[in-house]
Amino acid sequence: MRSALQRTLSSWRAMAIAFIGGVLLLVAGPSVFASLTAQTSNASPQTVASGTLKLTMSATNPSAGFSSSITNMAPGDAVNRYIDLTNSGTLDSQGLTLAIASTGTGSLITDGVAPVTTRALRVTVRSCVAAWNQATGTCPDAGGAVTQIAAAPLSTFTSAQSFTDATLAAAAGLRLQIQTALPDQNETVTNGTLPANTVQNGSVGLTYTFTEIQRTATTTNS
Amino acid sequence: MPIGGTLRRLLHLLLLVEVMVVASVLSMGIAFGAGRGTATAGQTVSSARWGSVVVLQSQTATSGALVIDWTNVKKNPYQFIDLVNTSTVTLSGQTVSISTTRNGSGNQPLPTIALALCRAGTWDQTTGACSGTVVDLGSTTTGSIIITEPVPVNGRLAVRASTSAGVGSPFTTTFSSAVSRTQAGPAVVVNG
Repeated sequence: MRSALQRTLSSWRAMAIAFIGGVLLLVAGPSVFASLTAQTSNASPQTVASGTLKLTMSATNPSAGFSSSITNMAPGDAVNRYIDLTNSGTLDSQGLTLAIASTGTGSLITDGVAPVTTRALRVTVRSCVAAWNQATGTCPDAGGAVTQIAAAPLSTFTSAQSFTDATLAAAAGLRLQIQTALPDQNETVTNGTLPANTVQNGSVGLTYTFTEIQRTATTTNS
Repeated sequence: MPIGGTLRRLLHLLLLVEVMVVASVLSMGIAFGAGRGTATAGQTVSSARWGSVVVLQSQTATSGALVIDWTNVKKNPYQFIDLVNTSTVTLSGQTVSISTTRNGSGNQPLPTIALALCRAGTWDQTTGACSGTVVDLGSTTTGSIIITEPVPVNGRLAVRASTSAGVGSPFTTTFSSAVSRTQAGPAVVVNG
């Protein structure tokens, strides 16, 4: 019969062998896997470039565009200004809109509510494929002028109004005629005193903001 | 597990999901905003003013009607008045209203008031002579006279008012002017 000491040594020997075996596996195992890794790389780096979305406008010579103030408008008067709107980015765009922020005389911004019958300033946006004839205000293109945004009071432009042709390809542009008109309406002034709720002697500051958004994102397979 | 505790955990879960959804939507909005191009410009627009006033000759234009008391028509049969254009546009016409009343009682008929324009000239208050061309504008007791003489901005028409009254009880005439849109020049279309 083995003694108790011999039994103890035997069990410790087994544990030591198991420990050493585990250490050997940890050290040698990764070396075995690494030897099975394969890699490849492109010879030259792939180039990935992002596009740009830019919208610019400029007065169409000889018109001074928006930088030229409109003064002394009487009912029935209309003033046409001409600007070139260009998608100067590299991405096509969509959702072209115009919003106008107006400050100043209320009767020039919002139509009167009965019994007040005043009619506010209207803005109309038209485009022409050819260059506008600025002397006559006509579009010489065979297809004629295209109404991009129909006449609407300034108050309507508080929210952005969509163009009829709402897409603009990269580097493409629109030749626009922006018409500001004061609708015909009658007011009689007695002894030099202006009537209440008049459209006379008013002034408004207009900030035109044209906006485009990028074309729909695409997924390309090739 | 108590029912209250389960409900509380369910509410916490729903709140977590809501926060995640809101965060997701907001992040989408920011993404769309990045793909936007804008162009902005400012402009000023102002409107015209029209109207006229009646004042005594060479007086400064002030709003309100002009009231003339004819106290000695035999000695002073004329009153000289100006129709002043207070507009920012040229007037193509204006309407002058005349209202006459006796200052005292009596059965005498109201006198007629006649207006005459001194075109391209002025009236001499002493002699009643016009240095330009005299143009008859019309006459009335109480009523309106439509004048179609153009008046430039800040311009004035030199008018002589005369009365048909002889010696009699004094009377008062009120002159008013009115300008409608159609008398403030035609509408124009400007390009450029």
